[in-house]
Amino acid sequence: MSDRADVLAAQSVSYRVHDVSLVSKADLGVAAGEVVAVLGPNGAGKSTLLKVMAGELSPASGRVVVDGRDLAILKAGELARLRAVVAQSSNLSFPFTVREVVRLGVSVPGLSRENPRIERAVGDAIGRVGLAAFSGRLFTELSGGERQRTHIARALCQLSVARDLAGGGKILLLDEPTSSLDVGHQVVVLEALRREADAGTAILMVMHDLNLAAAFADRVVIMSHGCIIADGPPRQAMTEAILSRAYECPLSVGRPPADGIPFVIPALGQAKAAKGARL
Amino acid sequence: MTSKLPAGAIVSAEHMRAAEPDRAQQRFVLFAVSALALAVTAVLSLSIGATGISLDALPSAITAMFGDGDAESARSALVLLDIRLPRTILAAMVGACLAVAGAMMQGIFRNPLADPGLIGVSSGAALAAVTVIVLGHGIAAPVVAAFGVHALPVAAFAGGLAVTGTLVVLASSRRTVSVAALLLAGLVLGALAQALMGLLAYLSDDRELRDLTLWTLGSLAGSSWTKVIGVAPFAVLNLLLLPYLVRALNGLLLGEAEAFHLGIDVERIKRLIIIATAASVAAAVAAAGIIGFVGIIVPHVVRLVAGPDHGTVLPASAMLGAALVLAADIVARIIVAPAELPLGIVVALIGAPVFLHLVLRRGAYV
Amino acid sequence: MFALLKRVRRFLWIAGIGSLAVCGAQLAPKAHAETPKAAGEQRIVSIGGDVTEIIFALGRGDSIVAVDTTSHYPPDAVATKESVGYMRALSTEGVLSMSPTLIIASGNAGPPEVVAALKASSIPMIEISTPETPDGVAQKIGAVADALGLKEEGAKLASRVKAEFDAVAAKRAKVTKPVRALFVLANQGGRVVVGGTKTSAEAIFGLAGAENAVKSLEGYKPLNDEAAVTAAPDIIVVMLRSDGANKGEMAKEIGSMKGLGSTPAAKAGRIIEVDGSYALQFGPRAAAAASDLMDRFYPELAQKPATAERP
Repeated sequence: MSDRADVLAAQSVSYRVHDVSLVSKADLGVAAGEVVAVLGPNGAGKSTLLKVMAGELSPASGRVVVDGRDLAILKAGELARLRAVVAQSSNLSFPFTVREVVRLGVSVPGLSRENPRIERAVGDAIGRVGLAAFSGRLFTELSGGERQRTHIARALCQLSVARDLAGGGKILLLDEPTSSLDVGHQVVVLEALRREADAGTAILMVMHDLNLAAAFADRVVIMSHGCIIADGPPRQAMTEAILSRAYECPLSVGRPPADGIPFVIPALGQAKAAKGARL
Repeated sequence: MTSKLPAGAIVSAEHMRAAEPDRAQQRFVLFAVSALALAVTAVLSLSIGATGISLDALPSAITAMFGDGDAESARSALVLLDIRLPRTILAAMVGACLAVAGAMMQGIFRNPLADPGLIGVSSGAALAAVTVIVLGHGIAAPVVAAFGVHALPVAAFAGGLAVTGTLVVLASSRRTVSVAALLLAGLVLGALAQALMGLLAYLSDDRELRDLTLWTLGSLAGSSWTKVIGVAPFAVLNLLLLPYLVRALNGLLLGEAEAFHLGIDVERIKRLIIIATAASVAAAVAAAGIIGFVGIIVPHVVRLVAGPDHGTVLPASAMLGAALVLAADIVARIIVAPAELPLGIVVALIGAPVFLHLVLRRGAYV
Repeated sequence: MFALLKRVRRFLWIAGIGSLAVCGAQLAPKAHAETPKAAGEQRIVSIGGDVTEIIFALGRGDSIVAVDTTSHYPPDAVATKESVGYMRALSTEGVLSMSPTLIIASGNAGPPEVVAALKASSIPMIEISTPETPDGVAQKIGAVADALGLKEEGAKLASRVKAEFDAVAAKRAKVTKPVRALFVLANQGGRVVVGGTKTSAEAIFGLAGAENAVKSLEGYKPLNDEAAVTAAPDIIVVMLRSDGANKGEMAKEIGSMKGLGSTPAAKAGRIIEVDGSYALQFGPRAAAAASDLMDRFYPELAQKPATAERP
């Protein structure tokens, strides 16, 4: 992987809690403009790997390189200039408006609050996730999906301001960004993310929906028991053998001839048969 | 761009424009009202008192201060410049410190009902104060000998800091302060302090018992320039720190991990906030005894009016906290004049109904 | 240090007042300040029930403008005075607002900062603390009289009180077997607070020829039921509220209590009510209070007319 110009890279990263290994020797790089989806069953270590790569957790061994520098030596402020993170669940019990939450993403210190460029970036980010009509609404009164989109807008705002004013904004990490969205809004959000990638941002996201990942990601990384077992374009990495092994259940992968993008469905009959056999 | 949007989006954009200035307007109204309330209560606090001397007497009082003037002016000088002025300044500082400390605690605990008591400042200060009251002629005699009249405030300040320091050490592991551990250790230390105070109350004689009860009810009756000078550095430093904390506290409301993602050095900020809160609250408690409520209701009212952005909450809380304590102190000293009610009682009597009214009217849990 | 304080104060004055003065003068209420009365007329603020009683006993009650909440006697006269609040919670401006020409305070006055501020004002302030003994009472009277410039009257009153104490002492000498008395300060839902050692109650018991039944406690402390049985007082003395509103209540309650109810005192119905300000303040009526208590402790001694006691 050394020949790639990865803007974010995990190099042989391991993470343990009380001797239980959650991630072991993970190597993973994301290049500028690339969208990488991390797939795998519950407990495979996807979110942990994301947190380590976000700097939230320190790896037990190995290192994370951000924009050519070791993450361990970067201060919180420098890190925030380079990357934004959307966590799986962040609740907020104080009644900020959507606009105020998104403005929290402005992480460049020393900017006055009424700076028109900032306000434009905030409004723009809100528009990109389809929340323009909600910008004055209280976050606490939003639905789950609206909250999720607000947090994504906050991260987009953080990137665009960092890019415009501080030469940063290169990486976006998201943990299941589409989990509580309906199909229509999944498309809105994924298209916004694609545009962000087209602008040069490296995007790494944990996903649960295999088909959405297959259709959207440039590369998928499949994890099982803390290890990366496959890494490549969906067409190559998402095979029946690898997915069935990762999810420990028989899966069928179909490939419509039109575009060759794999679609995954559980092989229910076989699952029953397999269970029966085990009994 | 606008032309390409569907009709619904245009309506939405208008809705956005209508909703947006709201916060700016709320902030403006809140700042204006707070500043006005502070100014009015400060002037009233200087003009009203049991002696009935008004600010009219000020010119002659100032003359008297520099050595010439009759007995009447000397009395005015005494009342206006040595009694009411330090008391007014002290009340404002105490109110501002308590309200801002409340807002900061609510920020780092992410709970609108948090108050500085959670980090042990008040229980530590109270324990030390009660120790001086009850054992001032026994174990604590050296403190009394060293500081005389100021032994109690000095001890209360030191006690508040000591307990908070202990808490932070207990709640830290590998250079991180865990808010949950802080909360638990705070509960335990608080209970311990309460028990020790109970023990001291048991050991106390009649007079000491009355003293310690009165102290826990809070009062600004003993205000002096010495106390003003003692509290001012902490109050001023705390206020100067506020602009630096706005973004961090806002980020912390999203959670510690999110705050870190937003570029906030969470551990440093938490320590800074705890130290600033402990020092300013310990100073306030040392000067005025225990005054509850300010730290919870003032930030709460501010958030109800203008939202939870700390850029608004912190300065508005400082002003309104000062105004509330000033107003309560005016009531405390005139309502039963020439006697005086304990300030803590008046703050609670004024504060509780206002708080209830606001919460019920809005029906909101802020 | 003081020079520095002074400079800082001056700076604060100029900075602080300058701005406030302009608008303040407009807003200030026109409440007229009470002007000090013509020279020669005393305006006394009396703090402490014993001090107030002495001033009245010396005939200068009219000069008192304000008293504290522990001053109850003489009731009618005291009721007409302003109150500066509880003596441990005074307010500087409150006391000064009485435009006193003299402040006489019990040594118990507080808080210390306010006492310090009052002493620092130009108004003479006298603090009196004397022991709770016959001599102490005489000293207290002397100190108050000196402050009022009534040396002669003071000496007269002191010697009268002293004579009363002597009479009490003579009567006490006849006591062969001292009764064991228990002082009950308060009773809250069956939890009684009693007077242990080093209390005014013990002092007055001593003068009245009785022995304190609880010597194991110091100060006023809650007494547990079993200790009440062990103490086995012959007599229980209960304190009435200063307005006497709870007359008769405590005696009834004590009789029905498990611990105290089983003591000899309760069984014999020897429960005595006293007015706290009368019995415990060690003012000029202390000797009379001791004498009264003794009469009730030892009815047999009280039978004989007072004159018969002198040989």
